[in-house]
Amino acid sequence: MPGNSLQDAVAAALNSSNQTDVIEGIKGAVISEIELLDPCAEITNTDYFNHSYAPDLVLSWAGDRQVREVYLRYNLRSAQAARDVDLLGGSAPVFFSLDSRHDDVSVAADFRGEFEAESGALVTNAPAIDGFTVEQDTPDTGSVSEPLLSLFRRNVVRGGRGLLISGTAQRLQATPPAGDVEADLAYLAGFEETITEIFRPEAATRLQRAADIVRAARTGDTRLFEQRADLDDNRRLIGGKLELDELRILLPYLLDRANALESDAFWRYIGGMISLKQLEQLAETITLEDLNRLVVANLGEWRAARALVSFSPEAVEQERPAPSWTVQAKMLAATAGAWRVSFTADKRKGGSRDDQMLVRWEDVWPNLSTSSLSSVDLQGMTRRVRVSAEDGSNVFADVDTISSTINDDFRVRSLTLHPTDEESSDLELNFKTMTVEGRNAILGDLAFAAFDVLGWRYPLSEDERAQILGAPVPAGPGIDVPEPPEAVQPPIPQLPRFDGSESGGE
Amino acid sequence: MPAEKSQETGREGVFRAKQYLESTTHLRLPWTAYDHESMCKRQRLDGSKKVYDLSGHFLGQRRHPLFVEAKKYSVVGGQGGMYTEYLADIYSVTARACQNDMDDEAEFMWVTWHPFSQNNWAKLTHHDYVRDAVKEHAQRLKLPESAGDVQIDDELCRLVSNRLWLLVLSDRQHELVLSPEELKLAMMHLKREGA
Repeated sequence: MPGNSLQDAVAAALNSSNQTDVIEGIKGAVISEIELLDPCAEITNTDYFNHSYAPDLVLSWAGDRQVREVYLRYNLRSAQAARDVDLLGGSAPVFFSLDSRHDDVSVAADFRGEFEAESGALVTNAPAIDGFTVEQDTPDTGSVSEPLLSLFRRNVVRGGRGLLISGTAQRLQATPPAGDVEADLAYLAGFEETITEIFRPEAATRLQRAADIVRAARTGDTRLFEQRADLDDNRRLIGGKLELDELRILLPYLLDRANALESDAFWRYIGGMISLKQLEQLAETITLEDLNRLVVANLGEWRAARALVSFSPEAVEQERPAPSWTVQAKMLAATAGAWRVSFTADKRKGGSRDDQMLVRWEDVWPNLSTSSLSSVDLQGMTRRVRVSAEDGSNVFADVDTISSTINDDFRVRSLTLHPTDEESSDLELNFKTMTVEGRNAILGDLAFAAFDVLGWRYPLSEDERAQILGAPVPAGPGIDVPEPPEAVQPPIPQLPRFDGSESGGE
Repeated sequence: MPAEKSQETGREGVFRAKQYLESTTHLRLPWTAYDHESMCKRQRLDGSKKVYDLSGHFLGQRRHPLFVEAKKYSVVGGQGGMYTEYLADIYSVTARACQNDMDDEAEFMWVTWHPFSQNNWAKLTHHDYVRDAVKEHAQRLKLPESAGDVQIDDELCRLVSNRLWLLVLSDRQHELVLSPEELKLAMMHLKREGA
């Protein structure tokens, strides 16, 4: 009775006397196995089977120009007789031995001898692949082996090289005992040794980067990530971007250990390899909770296009819910005090409402700085006035003058702030829609504008600010509170109802 | 030559022949006797089976099955006698297919690295040569007799002759064909029917 392994599926297909059934059975089994190992691989099934020159399958990966051809071969002996590695190895393909009953012992040594050390080709067989995919009944120990073995599996078809047959990399299958740091470190050392041997350089580098991250998370030793980039160190930090699938495996492991990892440099390193869009995509498949350390360390690094302020659902049930960065409704969200602010890289996401009350100038100016305020859009009963800071004029003074000389009941509809960097556009704060928008805006700028300016009615406590924005003293565009203009008294924030009725202004 | 060594040379010859034939882009030969014997078998008139080294089919309009016998010989060896036996078997196999109204127009190819029977070389694929081979092997093939004479179908001999290929390869053949990368490009553009 056939089992679930690739070997069983191939054996069943080989028993058929119909050529089409044999080919479809074998290719179907191999495709399923590759999908299981590397869910990110896009697999193209060619019209050929066991052809001398045409691959059976072609693998590709989104965002990677690399393609990898897969040649199915009956066994290693035939691959050797056909001199496949010599003939076709230039494109670094995978040679997949299907029926390996007579392979390993007698042929492997000869084959290995013929294999050029610099060849990027991978020669593997069904038992080896089965070894990585067949479900193993191992307990969840929290060991480093879990993320690393998962990454190993996902990379083996994409980046493996040399002769990978059953037995190779066997030691990676052994899960260290729970809580045994020494065993975990030994596993890490074995992992690093193995990936150098059986992965092409670019894949080995990716896996080494993962090993560096996992080691830091396991031991709390983040010195590697705190070295200065200009220092000539033997152990260089590996840069680049983490792929979505790597994040799916690594991020939960890191977040589980976030409380023990206080190094901002470490979290900035991780954040430097993630985009906001990736976080949103990740949230579709895994739960992302307690992102505080990761996001706070990257407030000055990550960029978004929009922040949407709404009442926190948690605040309805709890007086002051614990401040947190999470992903909610597929958007990065900060919940603190009375507010939830959702951030997105796509301005079209998140929707908006257009029913919020406009605010008095004296309610918001204490949270603005003269240097950052670019313009204010005032809405009166009979007129609408836009005051902008061209030619170095003082918006604060101009707004005050207009309010006191023109007989109208002016409210602030929107205002514009300069960003803290030169790459992003000005931030547009709209009190009607409770949104902040900017092109390529720094997340920290958006967060400060959202919590401090749009959220003026319910300011964050110092502790909440520290947990959400990372610093007890604000450092965003709404800082540097100026001296109050004459004739205007600093307001005492009142607590209006956000149900359409008004108590915050006249 | 020791049997094991001989077998490895044979296997190497089969794969060389496969590579050359597939490099023409006119053929697809996925089955070898070493790896999937059942796909390389054909039934003779008496019900016994003949195994060929390679099998597959022509691409394009032709689409006929092809069975290949590869002889990686560096000397004449016993090829003359083996070839005669081979022809007689093809006659029997083709007769069997026609008799059952199951003729798939299979073609047969003898690929060698060393010519043989050179005095008869020009006649080796002629229908008369097929007839002589059949007569020689009539008893082994258990062909029907009539009044003490073996019944041989001349039309069938002509049919076999038409479906017969004789090819001589060189060890340096691979130097004259397109490189694997060039071939992949060519195959992609040619898009032969049935590939």
